[in-house]
Amino acid sequence: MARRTLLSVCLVLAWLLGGTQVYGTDADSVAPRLYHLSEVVISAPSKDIIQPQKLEGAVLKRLSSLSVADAIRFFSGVQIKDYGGVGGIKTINIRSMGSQQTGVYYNGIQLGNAQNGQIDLGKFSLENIDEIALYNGQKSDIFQSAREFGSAGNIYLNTRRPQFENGKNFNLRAGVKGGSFLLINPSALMEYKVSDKLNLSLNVEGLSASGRYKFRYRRVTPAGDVAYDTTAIRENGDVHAIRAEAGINHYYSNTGFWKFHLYHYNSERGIPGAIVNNVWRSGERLWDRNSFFQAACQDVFFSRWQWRAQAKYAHDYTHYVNNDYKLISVDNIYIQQEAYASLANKIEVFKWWDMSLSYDFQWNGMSEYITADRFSHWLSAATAFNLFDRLRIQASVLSTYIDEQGQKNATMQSGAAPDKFKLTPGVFLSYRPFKHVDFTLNAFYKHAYRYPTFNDLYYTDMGNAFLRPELSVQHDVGFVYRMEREKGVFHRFEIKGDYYYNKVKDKIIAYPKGQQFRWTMLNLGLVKINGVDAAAQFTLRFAYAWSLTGKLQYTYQTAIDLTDKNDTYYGHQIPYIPWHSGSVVGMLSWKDYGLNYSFIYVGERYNQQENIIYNHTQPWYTHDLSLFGSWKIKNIRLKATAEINNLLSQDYEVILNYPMPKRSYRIGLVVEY
Amino acid sequence: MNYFRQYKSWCTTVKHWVMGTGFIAGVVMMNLPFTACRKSETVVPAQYEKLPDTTRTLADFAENEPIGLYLLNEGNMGSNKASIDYVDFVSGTYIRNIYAERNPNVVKELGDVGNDIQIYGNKLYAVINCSHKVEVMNAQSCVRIGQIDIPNCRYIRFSDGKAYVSAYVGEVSIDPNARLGAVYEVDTSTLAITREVTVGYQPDELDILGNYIYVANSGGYRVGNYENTVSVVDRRSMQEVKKIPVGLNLHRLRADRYGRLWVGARGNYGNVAQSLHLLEGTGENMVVSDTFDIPCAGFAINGDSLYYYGAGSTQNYPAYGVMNLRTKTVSESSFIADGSEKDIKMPYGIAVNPYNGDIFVTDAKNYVSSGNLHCYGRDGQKKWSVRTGDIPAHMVFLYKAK
Repeated sequence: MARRTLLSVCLVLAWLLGGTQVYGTDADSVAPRLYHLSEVVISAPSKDIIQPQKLEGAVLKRLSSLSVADAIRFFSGVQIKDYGGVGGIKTINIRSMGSQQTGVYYNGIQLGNAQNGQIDLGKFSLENIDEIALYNGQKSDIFQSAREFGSAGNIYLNTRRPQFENGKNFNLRAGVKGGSFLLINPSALMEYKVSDKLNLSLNVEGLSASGRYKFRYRRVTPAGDVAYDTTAIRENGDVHAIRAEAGINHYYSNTGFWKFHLYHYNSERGIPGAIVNNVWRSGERLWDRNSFFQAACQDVFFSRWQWRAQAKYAHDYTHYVNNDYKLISVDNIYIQQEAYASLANKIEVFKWWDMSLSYDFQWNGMSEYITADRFSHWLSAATAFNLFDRLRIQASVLSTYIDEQGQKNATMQSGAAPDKFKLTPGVFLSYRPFKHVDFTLNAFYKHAYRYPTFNDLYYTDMGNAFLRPELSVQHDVGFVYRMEREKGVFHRFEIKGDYYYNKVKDKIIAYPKGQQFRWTMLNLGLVKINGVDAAAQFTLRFAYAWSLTGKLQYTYQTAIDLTDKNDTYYGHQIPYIPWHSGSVVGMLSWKDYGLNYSFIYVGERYNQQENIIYNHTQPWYTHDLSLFGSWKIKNIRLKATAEINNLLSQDYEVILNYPMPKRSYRIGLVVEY
Repeated sequence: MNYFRQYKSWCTTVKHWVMGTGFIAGVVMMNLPFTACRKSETVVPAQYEKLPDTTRTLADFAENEPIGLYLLNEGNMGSNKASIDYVDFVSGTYIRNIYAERNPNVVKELGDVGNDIQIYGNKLYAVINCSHKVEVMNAQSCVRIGQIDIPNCRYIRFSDGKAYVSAYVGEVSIDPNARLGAVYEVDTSTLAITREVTVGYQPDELDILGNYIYVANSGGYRVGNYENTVSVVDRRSMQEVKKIPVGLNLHRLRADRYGRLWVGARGNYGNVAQSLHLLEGTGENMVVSDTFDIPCAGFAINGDSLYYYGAGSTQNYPAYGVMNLRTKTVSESSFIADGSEKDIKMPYGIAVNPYNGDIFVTDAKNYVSSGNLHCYGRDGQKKWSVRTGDIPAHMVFLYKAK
């Protein structure tokens, strides 16, 4: 008993003092004041009533991942749609609610796509990302912008924060990765400390890959003989991209800062297309130019009023060409623009009672293809109580007003969609029943709307301007138990479990209009989702600087279509949602060397609404292995990695007719000063 | 001694860890039997279903009586789920997915988006639009003989040992937005393309009368600027000799036994409705002699009767009627008499058994799930319904081998 108490005290202490430092890089120990400030003010972890799933720092770097989407596969309750290859689209979906119900935030501000509502996470490199956090429901710290209360699930991508060792006023990093698919991925980072308060950062990355990989289709007859066994090469999957980012951070006082961030991404890629009988190559090409500029400023007034102002402007250009000689050619340009401003306020009424009020405004414009404008206003009010550090409650309400301005033209037959106004509540609570044991029970209830995209409303002959927003209602109960101790082998252990029940009502689906192959968008769908997420992780520390970290994650989920009793798929699992999925990660370290193994499993699922044999998709699972080492020569640190992905060379598909690569290799070298 | 103590401490902690993770490991283990591993993937299996029809013997069938019906399911674009089902009138059995069963060695099965199925001689031809090929099989066994590669092919008809295939794309033109369609001529014995002629925009159905091929041009990719002509091709010279204006966005084109052409137009899905047009005359001098304002998404001609169905969102749809070809009037406002038309969500194909007058109607439902095939007697009473593949659409009757 006494030992348990001692352990718990150690753990709580470590948690309160360190928070994320449990995983943190070794730079934490020498982090200057500035770093601490940003750490505490921006993502003070203890403010969250329900802890998010997080991957950060060294752990994130060690998972053999190239893009953000690759890393998110290690979160529980998440489904990824991956069309394969370096340049293939990768979208995610939290707890089966649809990718448009998920908000993705880059350094605190949401990434938008008003046209189709989907963010391709394959485009976001992990090179400069220091932390990925996934919140079910919403971030349960009430100091946030109004819009953050609006999604059914949120993913936060945070880029590296400049930090300087004593006596250094700049950091340099240059690296290159290369490997299968003719991948070449050079990057460079420069961080410059102008003064103790002001720093600059510049980051450039290039990515080029032929995207050519072997894939194999093998089928047997019911008797077991080989029916066919074909290996071919994926064509037109090349990608060439450049990303450049620049940031200025100014911490002008102990409580206040402002930051600017500039992002530019330019790419050209082939869209490899579905592999169907007699078609092994597609002629689709895509050019993307995504640029945004964002700024944030934060301070505290009168010691109790904390505020943050944010602004963003984004310009996205997409050029799509289909020049397959067997098809009618297509050549379209889409331009989207977005302007956003936000003011978030939090007032500490008492030590145990906070209140917040935030207002966000956004303009979305689309031209060249559909001419439409949307003005969105979000106003949120939230309150949080912390009673004796045992019971913590947060309640929020968000009001959303959307003002649609569409210009009636040839493609937009019905004119602008009606304006929309919605109120959405959310309640989050956590309770720690034992004072000296870090065991927490938590629960939440939340409503969220997904607003129809420009495509849903205005797509040629198919859009329906009178769509209502799609509603998701989430219920969740869960627990977390953590322990950590300084001495002994058994260093750290954490176990989490959640049960959830979600309902998606008025789901926006394409529905036949009544004439052949003419579709319309309707609010018809009803889906009920029941699921269990479970996760555990541990760290063992052995003698002679050996350590072993393990992570285990498992999701069981049913997502049932209850749209119409007369449908043949009434009561069936919705497409591409596996009943079982999970991952296992093992990380063995010795001093500056490490060996990493990961296993990802996605169970059987169906590729269409009807759960019949003709739509059945087999489970897939991959084993990845990576090895890394780090050496210090005077002031220069050298890091090298070698990865083997899909070690057993499984031939699998995540999406029907989009074959994934077999075994692949990657090596990387980074030089840091 | 120190080592021993350290060893003991390890043991204790490992024990703790084992107990701690026991729970979660248990949860995972309990579910493992369900999750299972990847199995060797089998080719798409066929399914056999007994129909209420009585079992007969082959000898029992007259020479001019169909012994079976092939049904081509389109499957959604990109899904590679085009499939062939077969109704065996002899044993009264429905065979789902017969193609993959009879041809297990064909890589990626039948293909992507089936668009037409026909029999000529002893061969069965399936036009697979997005696989850019015409699949050729033995009509009796459904076993593959070969394929004809034709880009974006749509419909097929035959005459004098030649097959004529309409295709959405012909020669690459300078203006990529104005690429005309084509009709390809194929030798049915060698399966080689012999000639090609450029016609209108996105040609669909075609038919042959004497030396002339008539093709219904749709312009389906040119929303707001649809085609409205039938191209006339002289097949001696394989030249387009004329374009006859008929109606907006043409789709169906069938010859009747009087040498006339019945042409169905899709309209513009808005203020111009579906319509049916009659062309009379000879050779290139065909003219529109009549236009009927009936909703006609598809039709089948049997003797002097034209069985049509209309599909749409207005209150007149769906409609299932019969038109008398001689009087040119609607003789039956509905060929379904027992009220079972309410079971059809989206009529998508029709065929009439020329021997006994049975009417077959397919239901594509919502296009993304499996459909139904309904069989009605001549009296309008439903005989049976059966589940098909995705988007059941095109049918052809099989007769005894000669």
